[in-house]
Amino acid sequence: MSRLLVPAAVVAGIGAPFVLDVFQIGLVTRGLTWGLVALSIWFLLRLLDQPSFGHAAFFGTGAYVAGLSVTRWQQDNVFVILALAVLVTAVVALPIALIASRLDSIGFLLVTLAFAEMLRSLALRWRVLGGSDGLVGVTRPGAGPFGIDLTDPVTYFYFALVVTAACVTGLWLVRRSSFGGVLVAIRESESRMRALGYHVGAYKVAAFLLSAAVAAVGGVLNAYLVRFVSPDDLGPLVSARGLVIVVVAGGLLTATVLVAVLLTFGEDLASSHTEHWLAVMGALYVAVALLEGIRGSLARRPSAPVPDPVQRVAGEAS
Amino acid sequence: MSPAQIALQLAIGLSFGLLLFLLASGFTLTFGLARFVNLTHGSVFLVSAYVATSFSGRGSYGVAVLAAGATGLLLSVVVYSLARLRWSRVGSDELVQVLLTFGVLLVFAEGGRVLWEGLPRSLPEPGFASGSWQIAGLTFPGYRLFMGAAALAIAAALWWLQERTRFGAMVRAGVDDREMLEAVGISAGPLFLAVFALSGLLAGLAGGIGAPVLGASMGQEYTVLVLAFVIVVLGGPGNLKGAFLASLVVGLADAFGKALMPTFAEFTMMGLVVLVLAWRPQGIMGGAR
Repeated sequence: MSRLLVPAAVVAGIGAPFVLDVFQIGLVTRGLTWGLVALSIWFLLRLLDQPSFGHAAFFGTGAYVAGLSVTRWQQDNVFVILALAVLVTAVVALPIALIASRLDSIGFLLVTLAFAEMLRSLALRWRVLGGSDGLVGVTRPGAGPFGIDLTDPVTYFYFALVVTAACVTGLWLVRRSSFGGVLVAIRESESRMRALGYHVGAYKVAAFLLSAAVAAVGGVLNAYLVRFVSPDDLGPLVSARGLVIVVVAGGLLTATVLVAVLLTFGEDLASSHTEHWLAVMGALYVAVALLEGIRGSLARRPSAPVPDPVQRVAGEAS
Repeated sequence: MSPAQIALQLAIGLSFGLLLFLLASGFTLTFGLARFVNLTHGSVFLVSAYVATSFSGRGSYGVAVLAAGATGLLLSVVVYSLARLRWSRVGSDELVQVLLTFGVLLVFAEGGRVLWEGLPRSLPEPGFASGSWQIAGLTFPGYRLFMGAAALAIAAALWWLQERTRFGAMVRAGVDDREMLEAVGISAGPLFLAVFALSGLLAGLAGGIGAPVLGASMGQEYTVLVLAFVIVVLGGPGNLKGAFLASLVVGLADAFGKALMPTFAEFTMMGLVVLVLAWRPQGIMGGAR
C-alpha cells in the first residue's frame, strides 16, 4: 500500500496545477505546509513516543523569521531565509527540548503546549513582532541562484512541493539510518540503551531539534503563501491540526501529507459555509477520536507481546 | 519595588495561584485516577465564568458562583459521557483523549461565543468584599483577598474529601493501583464519573469565583489552561500536594512577572518551568504522594 502511495502522491502533486484552479492550488499549498507540521509531529510520536502539542511554537517561529526577513531585514533569498528560520527555531527549541525530553509522555504534551502558548502571548504583546496585528506586507522573496518567480502561484506550489518532498525524504532517510534505529531503541527501552552507553538525552534533544526544524520550514512556506504572519501561527489550533492529521494518517509517512491536503479542503469548505467553523472542526476532532482511523492508525508501535492488564481492565469497565 | 508593592503583588499572586489550583487539581485528579488527559478544563472555566456573569444583579453573587459550579459539573459529565461511548479506545490512549477533549474544548468555546456574542463580560464584586481593605497599614484589593480565602477553603474541603472520607480513600487507592481497587469489588465506572464531576465542579467554581477579577472573555480558555498545565507539570501529574505547592509558586511568578516586566512576563514563567524541571523532572514533590 505504501509502495503505491509514494508514486501516486508524486503524480498527484505534479499534475495538480493542470486540473485545479488558482484558488485550489493555494489550498493544496497550504495543505503542504500543514503536512510539514504533521510530519514533524509524526517523527517524534512514532520514533520516540513523544506526543507534542506545541509544534505551533516552531511553525510560528519559522513564520515570524520569514516575515521579519523581508519586512525588516531586507533579505531576498528564500534559501538563506529557510536556513535562518531553522537556525532561530533551533535556538528557541533548545531549552524546550532539554526540558521536555526528560519528561514522560503526558508531561511532554503539557509542557510543549504550555511553551507554545507562552510564545504566542509574547508575540501578542511584543511590538517588534507587530503585536496582535502580526506582520503585514510580507512579500515573497527571490529564489537565489534559481531563476524562478515565486510570486506566481503555480511556481510557488511547485517550490513548496519540492521542499515538502525533500523534508519527507529527509525524515524517511533519518528513520532508516542508524540514528533513527537508536531512537526507536530508546523508545522501546530507554534504560537498556543507557546501559549500553548511549547518550540518550542527546539523542532525544537532537530528534526534537530536527522535528522543530521541519515545522519551521512549514512556517516559512505558510508565511509566504498567505503573505501574513499573526500570533495565531503560534496558536494551539496549528498544533492540534498537526496531531489530528498524524492520528488519521496512522503510521504511513506519505499519508500525512495527503491527509493534510484533504483537511485543508475540509476546513475551507466548513469556513465557507458557517462562521462557526471552529465548532465544526471541534466536532470533527471528536469524531476522529471516537471512530477508528485508517486501519488501526493509533497503534503507535507493533502490538505489545503482553497485553497491559491495566488497560484491559479499563476497557472492560465500560 | 517598595515593600507595600511587594506585599500587594504577594497577595495578588497567592490569591490567583489558589484560584488556579482549583483548575489544576481537577485536571490532576482525573489524570491521577483515570489516566485521562482532559483539555476541556479551559473552556469549562470560560463557559462557567460566562454563566456567572449572567447573574450580575445585586446580591446574586452566591447564585452566580453556584450556577458556575453547576455548569462546570454538567460540562465535565458531558465530556466523560462522550469518552464512555468508546472507552475501550479512549481510555487507554492519551493521544485520542487529547483529540477528543481538544475538539470538545473548541465546541464549548464556540458555544460560549455564540451565547454571549464573544464579548468580554464581568461580574460585579459582591458588596461584602468590594473596594480595598487596609491591613497593617497596607492597602489590598478586597475581592482578591476574598478570592484567595474562598479558593483556600475549597482546597481545604478537597483535602478533607481526599484524606478523610471513604470516597477519598477509594480515589487514592485507585490512583495507586486501579486493578487492586477493582479486585476488592469497587467498580471503577461510578468512581470515574464522580471524579469527573468533582473536577468539573472545581473548574466551574474557579470560573465563578474568578469572574469579578478575571471576567469572562474569549481566549481565556487557553490562558488559564496553560497556567493550570504548568502547575500540573511542576507539581508532578497526578500529585495533589505538589499541585498545591506549584500553584502558589506559579501564581507568584505570574504576579511578579507582570509587575516587573509587563511585555516579557512569559519569560518569568518559562524560566520557572525550565529551572524547576531541570532540578526535578518528576515535579516538585518528586515521587511522593
